[in-house]
Amino acid sequence: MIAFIVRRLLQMIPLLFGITLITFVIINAAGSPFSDLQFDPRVTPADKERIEENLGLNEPLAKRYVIWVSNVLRGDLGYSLINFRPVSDRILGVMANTLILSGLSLLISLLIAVPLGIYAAVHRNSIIDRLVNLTAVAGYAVPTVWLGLLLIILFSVKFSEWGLYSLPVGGVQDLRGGGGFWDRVEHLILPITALVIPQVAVWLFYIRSNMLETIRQDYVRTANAKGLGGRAVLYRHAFRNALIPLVTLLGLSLPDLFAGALIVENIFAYPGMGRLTVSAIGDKDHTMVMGITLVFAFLVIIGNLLADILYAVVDPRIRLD
Amino acid sequence: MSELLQSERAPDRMGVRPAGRASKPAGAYTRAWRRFKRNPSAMAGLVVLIAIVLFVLLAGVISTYITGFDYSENHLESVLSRPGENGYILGSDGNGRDILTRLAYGGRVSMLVAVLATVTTLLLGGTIGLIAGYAGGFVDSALMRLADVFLSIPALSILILIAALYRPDQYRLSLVIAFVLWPGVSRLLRGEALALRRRDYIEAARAVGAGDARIIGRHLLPNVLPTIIVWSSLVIPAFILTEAALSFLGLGVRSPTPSWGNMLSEAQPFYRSNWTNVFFPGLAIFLTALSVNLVGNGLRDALDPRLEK
Repeated sequence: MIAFIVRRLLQMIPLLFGITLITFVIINAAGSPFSDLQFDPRVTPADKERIEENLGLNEPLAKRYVIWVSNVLRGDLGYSLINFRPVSDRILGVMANTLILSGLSLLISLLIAVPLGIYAAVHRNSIIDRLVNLTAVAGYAVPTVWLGLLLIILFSVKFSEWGLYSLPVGGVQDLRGGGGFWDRVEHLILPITALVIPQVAVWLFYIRSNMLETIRQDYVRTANAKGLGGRAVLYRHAFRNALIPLVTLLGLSLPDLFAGALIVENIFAYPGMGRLTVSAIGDKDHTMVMGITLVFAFLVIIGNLLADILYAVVDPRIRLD
Repeated sequence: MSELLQSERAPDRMGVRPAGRASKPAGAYTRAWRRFKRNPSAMAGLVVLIAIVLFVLLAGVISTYITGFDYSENHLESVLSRPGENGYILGSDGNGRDILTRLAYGGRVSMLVAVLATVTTLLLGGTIGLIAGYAGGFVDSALMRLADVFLSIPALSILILIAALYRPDQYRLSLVIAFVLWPGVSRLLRGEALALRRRDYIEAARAVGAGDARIIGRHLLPNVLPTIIVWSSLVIPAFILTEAALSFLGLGVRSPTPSWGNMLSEAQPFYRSNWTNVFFPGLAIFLTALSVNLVGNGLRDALDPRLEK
């Protein structure tokens, strides 16, 4: 186990190099972040030249990448090109918001999808099963942007027009002296709903088909044949085995989870990494974009590693070596 | 998934069966279509999809004979009309452009991006996957490590990055999507090729002197075709949603050219007064993705011969 973890951690190194190198090349191939300054009458070409010189932007690409990497290895993600605040401060400042949003939505999705998916598989072709299938297909097809805006229109705009209890349209807390626990919760309800609906669809699909596959296995038939009651078979034998592949899917679903959070944060003006990503890219803030990419990639890789370890924990047949 | 299918089709592909094709039993695809026709939700999806495709293809007719507006015609005196007001059937946007006309034209762009991106992704990722699976060894592990790198980047953030820095049009946008999202289908087809390359009929083809290119093109490709069809039908809706997400962030196809995604994003500031402007383009995306999805699920069931009774 220890050897496996160490080897996987070592495998992370080339992966992180690859990811940051690709991002670095893409972002720098688009030219200087200050190219727009040439249209600014207040900035002379010499000024622009001096700014780029000071930031080291005139150095060759390879040299700059090496400098960036060696700084990162010393724990320094650099400074934002826009306001010269440390990149790590900005990221740490909003990371908790994103982790709360995506973590809670993942948890809620699983709490809804696992029991529903299993119920649907066990009662195949029942009305509930058909409804679950319909929900899964519909949820997979719904655009997150549209869903988020419809939630705002219904629960914020229309509910307040109709004089009903309405939810806030965005942000993390009420700017006029809010900030209590319930205030935070109120601001999370709509973004989390917008994230949960498409996720539930995907999980329902996997859980239902896994459970259907498991029920067909010989050991389930044997358990039934030797006279165990339906529930014992379902929960002691089928259920636990059906959940094993989901652990891997949990790791693989992380990039999608962050992508969903990125959209949702921008709809609901929720200050997280997704919103920071979009603003940094819009500002051509190279160091910020590199920092965010690194953090996202790191989270995804660590998530996959944890999923693999968890896989061995829940299934003793799997040997990590 | 297609084990039986392959063994049924294999003699046919190798030309072992003599001429006289007229009397042969119905082919695998004919039987798949018969199964597809018996699936009500797949048929419903197909009908809706055909309706949407017709709506989009007839955009010119709708513009001339039904709405009487051009898709880029501004009417600043009647901006943000509600549906039915001032002669706008589904209302007008913030520039006084007719929503219905723009929906029809916008659908062309959204579907074009999705279909082009699917084809490009398939050409890039599929080729890499087939080569990796068929070649094995060093080529395989090198290509798959590269795929791992791309799979660890949140695809949307790299798409946003490229879209923001290079502002691609609808054609380049599909290239960009393929560049970022190729590893999924690569993995899929690599697995299939890996399983197929040790099959007897591939060995037989090699024994009679067929080259690698011929084996991949004539023997591997026809046998992974069902997988490719199902993959495409599931990824097209995903790409329609991707276009919508990029356009929402202002990075997709740019106005005045309409796309369902940029209509949604242009309607966002007016959601308090004109919620229908948000509703209709989103509904179009939703119905298209849903119907392609239903057709895709139907195809998957129809092409899986294990389900045949």
